Amino acid sequence: MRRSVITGLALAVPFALAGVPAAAASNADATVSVLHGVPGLTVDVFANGDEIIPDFEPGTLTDPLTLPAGTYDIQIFADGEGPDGDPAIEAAGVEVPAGANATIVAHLSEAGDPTASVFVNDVSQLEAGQARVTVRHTAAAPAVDVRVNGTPTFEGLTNPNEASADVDAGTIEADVVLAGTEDVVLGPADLDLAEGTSTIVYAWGSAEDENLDLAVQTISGLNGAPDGVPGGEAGLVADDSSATPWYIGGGMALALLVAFAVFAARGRPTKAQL
Amino acid sequence: MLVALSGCADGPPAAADRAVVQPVRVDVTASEPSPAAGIDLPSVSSDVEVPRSAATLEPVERAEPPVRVVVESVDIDAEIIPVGVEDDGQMELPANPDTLGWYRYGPSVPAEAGSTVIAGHVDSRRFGVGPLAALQRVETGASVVVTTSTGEEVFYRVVDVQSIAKRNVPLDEYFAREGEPRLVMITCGGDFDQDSRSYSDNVVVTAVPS
Repeated sequence: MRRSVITGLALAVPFALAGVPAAAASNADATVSVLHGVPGLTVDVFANGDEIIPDFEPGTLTDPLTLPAGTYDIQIFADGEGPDGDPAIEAAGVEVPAGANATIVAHLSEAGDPTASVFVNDVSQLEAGQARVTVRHTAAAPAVDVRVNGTPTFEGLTNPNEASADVDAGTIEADVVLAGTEDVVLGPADLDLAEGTSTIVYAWGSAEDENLDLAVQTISGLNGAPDGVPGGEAGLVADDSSATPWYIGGGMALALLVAFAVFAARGRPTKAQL
Repeated sequence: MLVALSGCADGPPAAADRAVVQPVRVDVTASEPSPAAGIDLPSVSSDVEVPRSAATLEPVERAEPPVRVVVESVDIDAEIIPVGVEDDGQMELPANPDTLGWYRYGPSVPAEAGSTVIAGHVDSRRFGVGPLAALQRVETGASVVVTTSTGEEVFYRVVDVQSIAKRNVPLDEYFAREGEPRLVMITCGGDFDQDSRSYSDNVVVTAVPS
């Protein structure tokens, strides 16, 4: 038994390797974006001692970077003070999994201290016509509810957590209230959710300092195809000429007509669902 | 039974543009960095300035929709309206076969990349046979002209005509947003199943810019 399993593996591995296109990014890589959500501080970002993002301003987001998967020590210095000074934010041992699409966010904790969090982005395929909306609490603020078109949709969200849903593509109006209240702390903002796209909304800044703001990241290309194209319904141009036209073959329609007649004859309202 | 009899021509109105979001209680997931031993740290190339931009939401770009398609060789000349997806996941189609639907989530014409999909009912119990009944007679090399709402005419040349059993239709391919720009016209054909009131096949014409 064991022997056959091992043989199977030995065969499977070269096959799998042969199937990988040469141009494809290595599976050992991860896609990482970095968002700066600490108000009032221009920074330089270092990963494992290398400066990766100089002069990074609050409210800005990098394009996706391809990084080798692994463990990163992230150090964020006030502009020009690295790498030998004291970092403003230090996050050691940040795991970036192979194949993941992740966003590293420099932000304030609920208590207002600079910190960093890694969020893995859900890049699974959407159904046709759908968009994904994710909200992430990265602000120095207590628990909040996110209301969509006036309805509390994501409730009790706390720093540094997230909530997500797949919804019909289109424009939504979102605002952020203190959890369980009607006290609006952010918004309302119109969000144009594109089909096949993940829209990630970050609440950042500080409630106490009255500089709460929204940052938005989008990830496109998650679109799925419709389940089919139902392009006809009467059989008028069918190949099988023996097919009976609907109006003759529709025994069910006849039965329904009879049923309707009976229904009407019984004196019931004729506003039937026909 | 009422639903089955009503068919797609008399179905519910087109999906509204405004998103409908049901209240949901979503479990929140902790995302704090997990502690780990800092061993075997990958080094990061810093040769290139990392592009970055303001983290603001840009309005979705709306393309000028196609409004008319002409395939002169088989006398197809039809109006087009934008359509989306039905609740059951099928592509939405105009009830009247004389009007075709452009899949508005995909590219319009001329597309920079990917597949512009225009589809329609081949027939309807209410309206009879539509112009796409001629689609299966289109020949490779035929000219297709699509006109946009601004009056721009975009020219295509047919490269493929297929009648494919519906279960085998490569929908991901026909609705792809990537790859060389192409025009895909879809309707129904083949045999007709009285019970499900549907055709066995999709007739698919693929054309490339000419």
